[in-house]
Amino acid sequence: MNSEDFLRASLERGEACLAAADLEALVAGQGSPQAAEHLPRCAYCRGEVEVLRSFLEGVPTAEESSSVRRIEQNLRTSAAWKGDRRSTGPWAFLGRPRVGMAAAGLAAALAVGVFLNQPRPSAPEADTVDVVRSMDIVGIAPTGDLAEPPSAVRWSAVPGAVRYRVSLEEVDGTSIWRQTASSAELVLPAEARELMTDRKTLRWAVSAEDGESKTLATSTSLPFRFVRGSK
Amino acid sequence: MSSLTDEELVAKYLEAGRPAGTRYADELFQRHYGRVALWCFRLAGDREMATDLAQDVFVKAWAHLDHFRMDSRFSTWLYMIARNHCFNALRQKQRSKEDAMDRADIEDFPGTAAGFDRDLEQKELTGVAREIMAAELSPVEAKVMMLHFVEDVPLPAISRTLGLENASGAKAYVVSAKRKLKTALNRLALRSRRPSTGEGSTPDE
Ligand SMILES: [Zn+2]
Repeated sequence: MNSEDFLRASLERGEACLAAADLEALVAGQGSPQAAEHLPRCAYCRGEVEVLRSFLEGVPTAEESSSVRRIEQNLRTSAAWKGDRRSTGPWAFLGRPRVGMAAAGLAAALAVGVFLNQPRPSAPEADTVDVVRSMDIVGIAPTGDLAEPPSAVRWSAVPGAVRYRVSLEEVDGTSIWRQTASSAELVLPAEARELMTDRKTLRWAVSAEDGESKTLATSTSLPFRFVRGSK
Repeated sequence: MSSLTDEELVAKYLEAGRPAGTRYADELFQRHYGRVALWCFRLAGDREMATDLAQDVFVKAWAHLDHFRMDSRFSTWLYMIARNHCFNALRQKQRSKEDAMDRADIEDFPGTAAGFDRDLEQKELTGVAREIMAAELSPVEAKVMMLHFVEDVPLPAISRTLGLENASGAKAYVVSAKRKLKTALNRLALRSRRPSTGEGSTPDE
């Protein structure tokens, strides 16, 4: 056994290792007695809990924000997951837009990848996949780490919307506070700000409705947290 | 729809089936775009690869959503998909690149140290090493070691994912973890060779 195999063997997942539900409970500070007993005896699970935490509670830094927003926008406009793949097998990627290439400005590749292989009813409306369609709604603020609990949330207005529904969520998506607004901003009352305790990551999202309560657009949820003493 | 939890959205989706239930999946996935985007960006280190990874994660989640059994939260289930997909992709990318250099300085590690293997069966040795790893490593060291040696994640990607200041950040944790393990194994080896010498014989590092 060489040294790398040895290291791997002493670190890898074992039979007694924790299931996903145990890991998420530990991240939430609610692990079962069995899980709590296993954890100090297993480097793999200790690592796994922390990596899951970084996924669930990660907040983009100021430097990361614009890139992350752009990736989100690309996900929203391409919605490749809905089954845009035309074929399977090694060449399947030719049949769906690789928006990463578009982001890098490869206009020619985009023309082949998006418009030839994926005929759309109204192709000219989107010269690049970074264009936000009119029915999208984009959260503007708050996001990232904040020195104080935010006083308001703001987003991009949606044409035809008469009402916006704003929700604050735990990192697992559980809604903890809701309010409606008639314009693209909502001043947060004390009861909402009190939910923003020091270093606790929350997310917020907004959806737009027309006069018949039909949802026109829903934003992605944006993470933020109040960190006492941050810049 | 925004008042429903993730798991309620999945239930509605499963009840309605495709294509009628697609709007529930749409809402569900939208909620997690930001989280997956950030995760992929930190692992990949560039926007282009991160966008492709994030797309792949949602393609897979959509393909397997019918098999989600609610035995964890949806966000954790999505994490498992993102984790496995991204680690695999990085592994493939890395295989053709320079990562071997990262590993070269691990070769002095004591797993095959002369004399030691004879004293302890390999299996027993691994068991002891597992205990030492768990007992001695700090939470950050455990994370770094698990990601690097079990999942083959390159050190710079680990540094970004865990918010360690720079590329030498993750490497420093590997070095300190190795040192701890080596010290503990040496101590143990000496003790097992001279069982009668008792407590006071622990060697200096
Ligand atoms: Zn374990």
